[in-house]
Amino acid sequence: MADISKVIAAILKDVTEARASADLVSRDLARQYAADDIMKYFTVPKVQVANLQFEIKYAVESVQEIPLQSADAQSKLAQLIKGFTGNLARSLQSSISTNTSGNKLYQLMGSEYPGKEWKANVEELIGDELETVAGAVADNVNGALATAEKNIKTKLASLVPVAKRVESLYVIPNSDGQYEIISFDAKDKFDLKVGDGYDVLEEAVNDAGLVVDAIQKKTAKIETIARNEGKKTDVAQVLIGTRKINVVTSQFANGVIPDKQLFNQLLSRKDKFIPPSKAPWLVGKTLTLATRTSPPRIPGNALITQADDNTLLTKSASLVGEQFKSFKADLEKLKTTTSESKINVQVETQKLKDVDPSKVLTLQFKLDMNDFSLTDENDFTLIN
Amino acid sequence: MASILTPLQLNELLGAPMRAIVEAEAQAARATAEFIKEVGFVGTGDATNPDFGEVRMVTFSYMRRDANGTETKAVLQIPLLTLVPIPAIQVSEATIDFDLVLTSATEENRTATTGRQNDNLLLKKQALQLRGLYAKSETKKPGTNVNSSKVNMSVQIKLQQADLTHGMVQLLNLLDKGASEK
Repeated sequence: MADISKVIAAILKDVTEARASADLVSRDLARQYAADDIMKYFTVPKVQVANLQFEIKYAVESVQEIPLQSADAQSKLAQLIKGFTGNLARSLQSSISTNTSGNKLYQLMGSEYPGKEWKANVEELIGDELETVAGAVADNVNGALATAEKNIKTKLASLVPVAKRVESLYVIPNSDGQYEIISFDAKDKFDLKVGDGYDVLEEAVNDAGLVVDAIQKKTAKIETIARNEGKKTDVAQVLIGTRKINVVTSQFANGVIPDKQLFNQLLSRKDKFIPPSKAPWLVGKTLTLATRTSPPRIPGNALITQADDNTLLTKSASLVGEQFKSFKADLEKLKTTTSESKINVQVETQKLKDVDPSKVLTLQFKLDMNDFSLTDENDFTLIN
Repeated sequence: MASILTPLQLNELLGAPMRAIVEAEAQAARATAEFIKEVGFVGTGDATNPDFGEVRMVTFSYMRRDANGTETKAVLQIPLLTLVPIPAIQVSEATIDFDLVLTSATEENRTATTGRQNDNLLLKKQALQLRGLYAKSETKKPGTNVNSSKVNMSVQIKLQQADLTHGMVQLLNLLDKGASEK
């Protein structure tokens, strides 16, 4: 079994070598003629192929699609991957920007989020994951694509902010890379902040659970209250067990000096989740946080439930899935334009005898004088 | 010498009849040269003694009448070679027609050692080596040259005398110049 292109190439090569062997005889004769006083006046015999016809029988045994490993094909693949990488990073940036804009859970991220640095690093991450696709052999491209898609989705989980809710306290990310525990009033306006910024999400969630637990059990004790005139906020130091946690609010800024009772009233409303007051038909979307099927409990108080807002991650993962689907189709298109069909044929006479005669095909080709001529005889250069 | 049952490479199978035609024409030319030496010259020059001596002349006399009507004897010498036809033959066109049995088609590893980068890319591909045997031609079916399942390759080569290429002419001039300077 042999590739038909190699069969034809072999025939052409052998024809050329056959002609060359005749020329070599002419060369040797030329030397002999030149040494002979009479024959040096004769024309040296030299033949040229005026016409050559070939006819060969063959049977097709298999046809394969072989991807081209040429520099051009590799360049096209690299361009496709680069284009896809840039597009996906831009789309993710745009999608996250759209979904954080106007969303109370991500108001602390700022309007510029995600920024150029985020996009550049995500683009690099996608590019790194797709390196395996560029290097994958034909049969394994789909596998490499699936792995790259899965890895990108997994890594996005840590690259996309997630907000959490513990009853009426929300743990939300801010633009400093920390988490803050805040709460909203009935009109969805910020009404209080618990503690300072948290570097670790779990610590913020634990403190939110601790505060809610103390409110429910009425064990939270307000020790001091102080007003910050500059920020127009009031700060209460709340003792929960042995922990002292600051609760900051701007609810009493309009001439009302809060006392412990007012602060306690404010805190007591945070013991249970208060659904957003805005009607969905007014704002055009459901404001309720997506709740897990089995909400995780806060340790020590099974009554306290928490919910995660995975909006950004879900939409990002969905976007990655859609774009990978499109990318896969583009790769398929590229594959068809940068691959060659390899037709494996049987040409050996003995083996052709075993082939059904109706499947034996004939290949004919002709060569004429022009196929054997020098492209430009003036190229001949005499050395010395 | 290989047996006729020893499969040969395709280039050998194709080249053999081409070389045979060139060599046959050279043999014919040698015969012509021998004829010229033997008939046209009186010497016995050979490879060690290239002096062929005098041109063999044919001498004859006849009576020539001048303007006054007086007859005188005239003697004339003519090179013999101008009187006899020189047997010189040249293959102007040859047709080689044969069938082949392909016995094997095997891939050989080729390593390019010279050439430009693109050439190397082409040559890096494994080349196929076809081997076969000359086969007996049988009655051909209309419209096809391959005539039976016993053979699967038919070849027809038409050859003609080639003009000397620019390079060949220069080569011959150089050789001629070298010979005359001895």
